[in-house]
Amino acid sequence: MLKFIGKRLAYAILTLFLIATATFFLVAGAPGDPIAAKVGQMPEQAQEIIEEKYGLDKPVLQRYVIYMKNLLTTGDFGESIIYTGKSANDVIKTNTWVSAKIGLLAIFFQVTIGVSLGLVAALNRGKPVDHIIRVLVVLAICVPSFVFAAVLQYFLAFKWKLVPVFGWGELKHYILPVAAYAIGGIASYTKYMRNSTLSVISEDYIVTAQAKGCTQKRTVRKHVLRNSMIPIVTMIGPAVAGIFAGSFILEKMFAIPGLGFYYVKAVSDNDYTMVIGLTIFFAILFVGALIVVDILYGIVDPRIRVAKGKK
Amino acid sequence: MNETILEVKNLHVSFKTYAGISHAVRGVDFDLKKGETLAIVGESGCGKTVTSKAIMGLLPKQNTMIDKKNGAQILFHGEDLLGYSEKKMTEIRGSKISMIFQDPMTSLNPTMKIGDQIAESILIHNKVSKEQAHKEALEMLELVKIPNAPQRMKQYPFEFSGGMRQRAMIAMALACKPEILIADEPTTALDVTIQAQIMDLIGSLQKELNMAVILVTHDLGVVASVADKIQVMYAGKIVERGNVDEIFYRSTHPYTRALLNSVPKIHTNNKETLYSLKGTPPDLIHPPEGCSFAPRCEYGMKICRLKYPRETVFSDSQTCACWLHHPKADTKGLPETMIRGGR
Amino acid sequence: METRENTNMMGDIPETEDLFERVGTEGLSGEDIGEKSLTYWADVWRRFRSNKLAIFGLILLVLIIALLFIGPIVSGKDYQYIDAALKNQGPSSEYWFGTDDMGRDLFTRVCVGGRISIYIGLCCTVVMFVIGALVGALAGLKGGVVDDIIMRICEFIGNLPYLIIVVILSMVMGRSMFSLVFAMSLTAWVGTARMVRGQILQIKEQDYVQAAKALGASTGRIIIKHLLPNTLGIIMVDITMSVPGFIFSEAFLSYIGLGVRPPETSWGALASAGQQQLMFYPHQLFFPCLLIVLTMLTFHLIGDGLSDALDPKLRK
Repeated sequence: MLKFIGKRLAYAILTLFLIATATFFLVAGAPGDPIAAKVGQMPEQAQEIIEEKYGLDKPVLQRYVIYMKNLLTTGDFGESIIYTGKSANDVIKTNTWVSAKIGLLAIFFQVTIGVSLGLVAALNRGKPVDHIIRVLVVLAICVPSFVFAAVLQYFLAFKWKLVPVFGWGELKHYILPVAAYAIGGIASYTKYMRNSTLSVISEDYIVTAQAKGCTQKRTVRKHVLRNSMIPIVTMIGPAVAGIFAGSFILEKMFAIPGLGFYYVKAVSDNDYTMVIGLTIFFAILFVGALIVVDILYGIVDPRIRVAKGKK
Repeated sequence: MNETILEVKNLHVSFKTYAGISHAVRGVDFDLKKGETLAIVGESGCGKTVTSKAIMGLLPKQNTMIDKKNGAQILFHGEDLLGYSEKKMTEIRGSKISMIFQDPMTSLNPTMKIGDQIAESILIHNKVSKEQAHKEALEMLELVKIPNAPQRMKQYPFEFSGGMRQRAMIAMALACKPEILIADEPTTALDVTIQAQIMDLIGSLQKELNMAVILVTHDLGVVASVADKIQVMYAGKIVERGNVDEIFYRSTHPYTRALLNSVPKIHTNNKETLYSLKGTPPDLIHPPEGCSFAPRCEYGMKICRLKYPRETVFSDSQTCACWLHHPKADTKGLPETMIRGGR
Repeated sequence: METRENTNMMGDIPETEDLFERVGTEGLSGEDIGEKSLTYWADVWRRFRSNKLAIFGLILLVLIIALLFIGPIVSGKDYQYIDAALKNQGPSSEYWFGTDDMGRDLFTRVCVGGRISIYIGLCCTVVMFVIGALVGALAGLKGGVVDDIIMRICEFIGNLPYLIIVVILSMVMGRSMFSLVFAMSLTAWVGTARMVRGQILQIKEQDYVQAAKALGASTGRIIIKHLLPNTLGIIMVDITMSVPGFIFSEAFLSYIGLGVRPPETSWGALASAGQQQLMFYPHQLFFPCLLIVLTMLTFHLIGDGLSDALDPKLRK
């Protein structure tokens, strides 16, 4: 198991290194060098300060080496080229947790509600409950999250004034974004849970459990659930990894000061250094989450745990 | 010893399928005495597994119909299991009547330790502590001759070989010392060498626990050494029954003959080709009016396709449902042992 | 002779002498096979046709696409024509979906934008499919080192955060149709490649392909006769499910301002613009969203119908 984790980590570090390099050269080394071009539009005095600060007089390759050195030794993700003095680290420090809270809450609801609905649908296959759940799932999957967000915002906040339209800081501000974020995921988890439960129910070992004298409740709890959760667990990881990317639009719509909000802002401001820094940070979160999933997966499914332990 | 513990009377089972209603079991009767081994033999799809699952009450409820109008009954110690509630059935399953299945590869829960799976049946049926259940489970594993049982308890099914898994299945089924063990093709998925070991194990445990065994198989070879009585099923009906001698040496139904002929024998002359039965069992959605074997029967007569034959009784143990035993039948070319008067 | 009556099976047929004439296994073969055997694809089509929801999806999709092309002709308006006097009108007999904040006819804009959205969805799917199928087939058929290298690359790309890559690429390459399609299909083909490879490996091991090989069939023949028909099904399902995915991604990118460049428009861009006006003119968001949702729905219904039709076992 340790060996497996070690291998996985080494691989992840390589991936991250490649992403960081590619991002840096794509953005900073693009034809015409957008960073240099950007600086060129500023007043002369500012230009000098910035050129010195960012080392823009040096070639891209050298800038890359300096950047990577700073990143690895001091964890410096770089400084904004638009708002002088504001660094990517500041944004990361103050806003990561905001995005994480919304995303984790939404995923919590997605998994708990989705798994329960999927289980209920599968155990009542062909009955009205099943049909209702399936229709709702198809509808929910077809509606983009920003449409949900807009509908919720319009009715709950604007028409009925039950919750604030946007803003941040209090519990009531969580309701709309978390709900909008969660709905699509609930639908997919329900769908996958239903399918996986149906296939587990038709397995021979479920008949064995019944032949042993397990009641339906016990069969579901002890034999169905764990096995049908395996594919769900594999989905949770990438979902957690995707929290920050997934919340771009919602953070923008609800004016939530999360990472995604600043990322989109940096993109539309053409704040290249900020984009590089945040992208690398996103990549670290993403790749890190994938490793956690792999390890979790091993814990749930003993076949993988043992197979990997032996390698 | 001679106490009858299980009696199946006129069992009819049908399934709703996309294509229509499939009549899988069409009037099956038999009884089982304490400590006895009954073998149910037939091709796949003849209704033997359905019969055994019906006894266990394990048929899927949404699409299964057990026709009670014809007086269908499954009497266990005189009580009709078909009338039992699901709750009462769960108390019987695994404690009084147990079942093991064909494929030990898929019949064990892949994410649960072997020990836990065996202990589970003890925990469900007996009021014992977890430790006690695990202790008994360990004893069961030793009983089915699994080496290193204490370590094996903590392993998962994928760490077991096929034969080991079937032993674990047997341990699980016998953990509560049931009165009846239903073994559904227990050796089909195993290597030939392992097959004999598993059958020996079932045989010796049967004597030790004095339980009755219903052995469901398509392989007459497996049956010969262990069964007390044999019934041959075809298309949802029992076509012939008898004890081992009667079925192997004096069988009276052409289908039984065909089954016997397709078992390879050591003494077979090299020039002889192995007999193979032509055609496939009939479609049970539209079962034939007459004898369902008639279209594949080389001795088939016109009446065979029109009307189902009565059962002819040859001895206390042997009966056969075939028109060839009718006085008017054309017995030309029939093997001599088949032409016997009934009683 | 003692006999036992077999209940309820007895007809009234008298047991006359002539009925005991031997007929043997006469009529054994052929008789049982009542149904005409259908080819695989005819069978798939038959099952698909019997799925009412899938057919409904197919018809609805055709109607939507027809609307996108005929709509502007019928409305007789230009999607770029700005009428400052008619800003933010509600739906009326003149402007069926109302007008936007610049007084442009929303119905015509939704139709024209929809063409772009669907066009992008299709382009990305085609690129994804072609690259994915070729790479996957190469890996699956060649095996060995080639397979190893390709799978490593796939694993690497698969571990990248998809949206971020798309954002970075569209940012660096500028806003154009080409960069959109490029950015979105760059990572998407990995899934197709893996799937095709998996299918090929699985089928390669199957007895009938082994048998064909043993009988001396050439590789080309095996691909055309065995691998293609068997992988095509699963690929078709993947394609139908991908188109709405790309439409979704395009909408997303347009929403954060990285989509098509004005004056061109798309459903995503329209929804984004409508979002700004949500509080006071909700119809500006409603109509583009309705079309997005309906289109997604049709593709999902068709995809579900296809996968059921291709694998009847799954549905039981």
